[in-house]
Formats: sequence, structure tokens, C-alpha cells
Amino acid sequence: MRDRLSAVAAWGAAGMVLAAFAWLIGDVLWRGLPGLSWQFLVSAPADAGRAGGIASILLATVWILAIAIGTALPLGLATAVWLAEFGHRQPRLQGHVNHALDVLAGVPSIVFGLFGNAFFAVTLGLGFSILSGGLTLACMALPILVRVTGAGLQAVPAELRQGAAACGLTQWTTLSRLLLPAALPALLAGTLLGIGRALAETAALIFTSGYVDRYPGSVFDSARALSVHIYDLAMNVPGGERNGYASALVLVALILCINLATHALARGWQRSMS
Amino acid sequence: MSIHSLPTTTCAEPVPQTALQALDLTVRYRGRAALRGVNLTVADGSVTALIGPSGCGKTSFLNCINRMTDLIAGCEVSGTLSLFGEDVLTDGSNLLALRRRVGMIFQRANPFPLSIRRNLDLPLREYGIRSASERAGRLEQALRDVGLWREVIDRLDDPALALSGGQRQRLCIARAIALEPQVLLMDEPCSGLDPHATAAIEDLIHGWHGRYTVLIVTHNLAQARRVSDHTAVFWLQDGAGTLVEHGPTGALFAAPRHPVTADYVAGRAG
Ligand SMILES: Nc1ncnc2c1ncn2[C@@H]1O[C@H](COP(=O)(O)OP(=O)(O)O)[C@@H](O)[C@H]1O
Ligand SMILES: [Mg+2]
Repeated sequence: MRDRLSAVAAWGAAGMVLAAFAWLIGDVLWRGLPGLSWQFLVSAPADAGRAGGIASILLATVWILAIAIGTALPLGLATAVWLAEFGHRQPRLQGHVNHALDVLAGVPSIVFGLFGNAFFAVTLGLGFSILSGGLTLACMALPILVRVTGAGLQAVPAELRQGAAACGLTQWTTLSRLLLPAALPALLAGTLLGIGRALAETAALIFTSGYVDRYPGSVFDSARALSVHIYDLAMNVPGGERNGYASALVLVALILCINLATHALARGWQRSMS
Repeated sequence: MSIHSLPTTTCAEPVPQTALQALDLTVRYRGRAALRGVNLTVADGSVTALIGPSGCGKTSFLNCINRMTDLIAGCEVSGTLSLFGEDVLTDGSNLLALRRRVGMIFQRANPFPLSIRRNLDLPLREYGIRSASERAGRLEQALRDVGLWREVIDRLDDPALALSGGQRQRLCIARAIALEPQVLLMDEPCSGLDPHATAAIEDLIHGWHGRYTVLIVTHNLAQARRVSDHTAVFWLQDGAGTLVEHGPTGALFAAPRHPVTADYVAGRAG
């Protein structure tokens, strides 16, 4: 009897998760599809976003993401390699870095927004700009990237390291020819997760890359990311719902694609490790 | 012929050179002794079997010789260990050069997750052999030496992990001998292999007499008798492993001097 009950509860919970997911997707599709067209994707917004499309918004989003990933990827990779391969020589520093990453991972995005505004926009004088937004997102994506890449490096079997050392391979060769290739899928998965998080980010961008919905001319221009655009249409623009939902549909589709790609990578990775 | 081998002596009765000498060698993990006070001299070109129950420090002993102990956090080695008269344990000694002179074969075959060719090519490049034709020559020779050449000749660029267990282990041996080492350390190299693959590896060791100095850990006493000319018996004493007896294999098995050896080789202990 208790078994039956708990089975029903488990199925019920799983069903509710699925139902919530289906309802969300269904709602976004239902309200977003009427506004979605090729024209919507390739034209600039007009009338505060009520009319026109999201071309400049998509462009700004891509630029912000490119800055974020271009910064976070080398930094995250280097940090993960240091933590996994060299950090044990300076255990105290290693502890501090690990601690800092844990704290960073738990910081709410609104705090990143305020920090990004104070540091990148004001202190470094970058103002409201793609650069400020991208760098702020890089700080947010860093912990995920380091953790996932680090897990990938740690999953490399100890026998591989021993074999490499026993053959007289230098640490650099071991890292570049054996360990990093083995950890590459994890690095890609970490990058995708970071992109996913950055794409969905609103709070950190409002204070850093700003609201301007024109085509950005350079990375020093203020520009509006897709998530900020949705927020603005929903909260500040009466009559913006239709385009807001169409934008939301584009965002959800992008995030789903990234999720699928991450899963595919993770599966391929598990297969290659076994 | 190994590039490391020395000119043959012209004396009437050549005294075998000492390849390896351990004096009061002790290994500690986080302060706790795992192997204590080992004194052992190994002649160049000989095959020495290390036998004894699990946990008595045989792997720890091998790990000192190519300084794999450096990779283990909290591991501390004291005493002296010399390889052809050169000290192995001093910090200043060149680790990479040492590991090229001393090859190691592990219990679990551990080819790199690369192609068969790259498995040998990578260490050879690292060794400084720039010429591709020389690397190819060494690759072929090493694979012939381990009897793998015919089996893999048409799939050198296939992943090494696609090979069978016995083939993988022979590939690892080829990877080690391609660097022309003087000493080969083999830590239970056959324990994961079927009898057929085991026999193939024993044949290799037989063929190496005089060419490499081999130290082989084995739990298989019959194997120790078949392949070795000297046997070293390790045993746990006062909570740490130590060497209790060492001598020519035939004599040691026929007339063990130490009581634990007598029990062990008779199958009454261990
Ligand atoms: N990395 C390690 N850290 C701590 N203790 C170890 C480590 N490696 C081996 N030991 C200990 O040292 C002792 C000898 O181990 P080992 O050299 O592997 O023996 P054997 O190869 O004869 O089985 C064992 O008690 C083992 O627990
Ligand atoms: Mg062992």
C-alpha cells in the first residue's frame, strides 16, 4: 500500500513537471507564433518594439555572448587546468580559488548586474556597453565553465597520467595531447551551459549593456539583449505583448537548441570515456 | 642493439655490471612506512621476480626506481637507489631522462586513447627523434619485438583502445621498448590476461635476457620460476613491507633460507 502510494506520488510529480513544461512551451508557442515571421527576425524594432522585429536585438545578443564566451573560455580553461593539474603545489591558493568559485556560483544575477555596473561601466569607464555586459556575463559563466571543465579533467583515468609520466612525456605534452583532448567534450558542454545561462540573463544586463534598441556600431555602444527586450516589452511597453511573446519564443527555441546540443555532447562524452 | 648498452668487455670472465642497487630504501605514505630497509642489487641484463603477498610494498619498490613516487602526494622515499652507479633519488636528477631509461608496464594495460601509431610516435617525438623515417623504423621494430607487427600492420591508424587486452599490454610494452630503455619494470603485467596472452608475454621476457634488466612483480609463482633468474621475496614485518630473501630463482625455490619464504613458496602462507 505504501509502495503504491509512493509510486503514485512519484509518477504524479514527474507528470506535473512534464505538464508545467508542456504548458509553458504551449503558452509561448500559442501567443508567440502569430507574431513570428522571417520579417520579424530581420527587421529592426520600431515604436519602442511594438512594431518591427528584433534584428538589432539578435545582433546585440550575439555580440554580448561573443564577448562573454571569448573572455570566459580562455580564463575558465586556464583556471580549470591550474586547479586540476598544478594547484596541488599551492594548496592554500587552490583552496582560495575553489572558495571564490563557489561564492561566485551562488551570487544572484542582480548582484552581478550591480557589480558590473560599478566596476566595468563606472570604474573602468566602459559605460553602458556591449563590452560591460559581455564582461559581466563572463564573470557569471566562469564558475560553471571551470567546474564542468575541471570535472572533465578529473574524469581522465589516473592510469593515463601514470602511463604518460612513465613514458617520460613532459607535463605540457601530457596536458595538450592527452588530457585536454580527453576533457574537450566537457569543455564544450561547459561552454554551452555558460551560453545558456548568459542567454537567459536579464538582471545582469539591464545595468551593464542597457536598453538602447538600435543596431550597435561597436562594442562600446549600449545595446539591448533579447532577454532585456522581452522584459521591457512585457513591463514597460503597453501593446508590446505580441512582439514580446514572439521574442520569448525565439529565446526559448535558442535555449532548447543549446540544451539538446549539451545533452548530445554529454552522451558522446560518456561513450568515449567507457 | 640498445644505444645505452656499454661496449662489451674483453675480459675472459665478464663480471655482470650492477644495474640497480638499493640501500636501506624506505617508502613512507603520509609518514607511515609501507616499505622499510630494502637492500637489493640487481645485475645488468637479469630478470628478477618480486614475489610476496599483496600490500607488502612491491609496487612501492618499483615506483621508486622510475620515481613514479613523485606523483603521489604524501609519498616520501629515503635511503639510496642507484642506476648504473647514478643516484636516482636526488632532486637534481633529470626525471624525464630517468623515465626514458626505465620503462614501466602496469597491471592494467594503459595505452593512450590515440591511434596505435600515435601511441609510439608521441613518446618518440618527445624523446627528440625528429626524423619521421627514424620514428617509423623504431615503431616497426618495437611492434615486431612484441609480436604485434603482423597483427596491426593494416590498422596502425585505428584506435589503440580497439585492441584486445593482450594486444593492449603488448602495445604498452612496445611503447616502453621503443624508447630503448635499460630497465623494464613490470607490475603484475599478466594478471588481467588469459593464459595465451600471458604465455606470449613470458616468451617476450625470455627473449630479453641480457638485453634489458627486468624487474617483474608477479603473484604467479610458476611464472616467477619460468621467467626469472633471481627472485626477491617481500613480506610484511612490523606493519611494513620488507625484503626477506633474495637469490637465484632455482636455489630459492629449492631451498628457501627464510621460514616465511619456505611457507610462501610451498603455498602455506600469503
Ligand atoms: N598512494 C598510496 N597512499 C597511501 N598508502 C599507499 C599508497 N600506495 C600504497 N600504499 C600502501 O603501501 C603498502 C604497500 O602497497 P604496495 O606497494 O601497493 O604493495 P604491493 O604492490 O606489494 O601490493 C600498502 O599497505 C598500501 O596500502
Ligand atoms: Mg602492487
